[in-house]
Amino acid sequence: MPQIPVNLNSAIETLKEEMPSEEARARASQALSTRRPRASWIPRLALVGGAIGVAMAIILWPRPTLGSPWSVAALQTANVPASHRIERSATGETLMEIWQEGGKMAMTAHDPKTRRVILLMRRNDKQHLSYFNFYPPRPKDRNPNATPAATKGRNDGRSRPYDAANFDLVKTLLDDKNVKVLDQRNVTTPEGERTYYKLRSTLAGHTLDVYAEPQTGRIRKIVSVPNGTIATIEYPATIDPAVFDVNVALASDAVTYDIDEETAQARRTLAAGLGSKGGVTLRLAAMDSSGSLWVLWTGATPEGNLSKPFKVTGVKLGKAYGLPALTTSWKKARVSLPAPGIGVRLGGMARPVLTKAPKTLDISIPTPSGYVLFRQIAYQRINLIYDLSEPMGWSKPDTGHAVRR
Amino acid sequence: MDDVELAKRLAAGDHGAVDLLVDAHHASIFRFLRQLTRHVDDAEDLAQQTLMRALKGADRFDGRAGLRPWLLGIAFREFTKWRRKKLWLPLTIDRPNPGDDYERLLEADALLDALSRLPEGVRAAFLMHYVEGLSLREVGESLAIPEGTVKSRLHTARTQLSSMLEEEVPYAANPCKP
Repeated sequence: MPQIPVNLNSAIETLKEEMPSEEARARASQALSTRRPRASWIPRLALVGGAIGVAMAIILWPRPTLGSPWSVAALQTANVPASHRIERSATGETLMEIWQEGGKMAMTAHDPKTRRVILLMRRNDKQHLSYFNFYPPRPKDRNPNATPAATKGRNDGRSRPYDAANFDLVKTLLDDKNVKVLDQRNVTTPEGERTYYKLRSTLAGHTLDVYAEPQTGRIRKIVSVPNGTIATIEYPATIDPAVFDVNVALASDAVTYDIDEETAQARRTLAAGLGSKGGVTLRLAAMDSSGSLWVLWTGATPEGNLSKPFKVTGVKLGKAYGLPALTTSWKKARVSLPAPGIGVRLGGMARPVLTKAPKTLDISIPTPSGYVLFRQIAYQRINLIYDLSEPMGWSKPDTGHAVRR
Repeated sequence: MDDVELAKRLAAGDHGAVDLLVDAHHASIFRFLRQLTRHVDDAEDLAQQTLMRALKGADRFDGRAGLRPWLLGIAFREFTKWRRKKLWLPLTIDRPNPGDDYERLLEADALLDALSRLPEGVRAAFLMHYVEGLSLREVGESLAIPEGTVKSRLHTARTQLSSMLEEEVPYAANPCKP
């Protein structure tokens, strides 16, 4: 893994380019608009009157007829028991598909260029969400041990889940309280009679052509005017439960890292150790998806400048790198704690493995007086070292929040 | 429309002025707060709070410095209040996602890592001047400090960052990428 030289000016230029999402901007605008002082009571009454009018329409006319107000169409669409939505690019490639039924959700997003799944979410109950991210290798990566990585795990509901609105044109539109109706009329389409709305959505950031069923008000199609993306919605009576199955095998040419299983295995290995010799206990050997080997141990903390890196017999290694928390410079680290289950700080570092690694390695750990050799060590495969933050003592269990030194 | 006029219209409850305020300044405020907090969600919340405070206090804007320095000053005060409430520095700062600009983002992230070790006032001065492009005078107005103190803080920032980023060479700031 190449070290990253930091050019201050270049880094500043990158920081200047950071921008908020359009959604964030719209939320801010909305928050301010609900707090704007009103000049007179007349607009307030009009708003109240309008709200009562919409409520009465919903109560008295649950099945709106031709030409329903946009607000009713949005409400009808948002409250359906089951829906199947597909979003396609202007050239017809499927970008995203979402199934929803009650509290269950199944979402799959595709890269339009490569056609592969880049994100997948399944929610079988209201608390757990499994996800799958695919990281393609960059063309510059030549490490023979690097793999295209895909990760899966479960969101415990306390962390912020992946925001499906980044992909979901329908959800974006339905969540937008500031939609402006630019046009509305009845139209005849190849799919049948529709109520057509031309909308300006602040959350989407552009104009949308929306087609809804005249009898029920439910949206059937949304066309994003600037880029031609089309979202279509169907309303099945029921959905096959297998659609929401979280055990999905995907990306056969990628190694799928189960984050939860990685963490559990690392916790067990760290606690038990991989062997002790000469005062040193080898705690973990893990190859990450970039092809770097992380070796962690207790009993002999490496120097902060990594002047004496670990060695592996018969394998070519790159320059050592790592984190101050794992060296004698741990005080420089923002977080550095004894690893839970062990009670002492871990020491260690990483080195790129530049030749194809066998399944077991002979690893030599540096000590003040020399090296200690551990033979035939089977290493764990992980996605990123940061996946193991909690068992290594960098974050609290289940919160992801650091504990102060 | 100049800043004083915009502030007057905000104070008068002009709806269009609010949209102008958000369009012109939300991005800068968010960016500044994101780089201070290292977390998108918190930055979004604080950016909203900043704009609301600005709206409330628009009648007190006197135009001595521009609207942007004034807003960034409010943002910094919101950040310091937020920071005091936090017992621990969260580890789950947002890290760059793998992508085409991954190395550039890692480099910027390394800078933010180093900045996070500097005192808040030094950090704010650095971000306001070098990233947000405020002049020394505007930074001073924003943080209510003399211009000389701004210069001193910037000098401190550059010296310490150069040293920290050099020391980071044996270590990757974020070693993990696909």
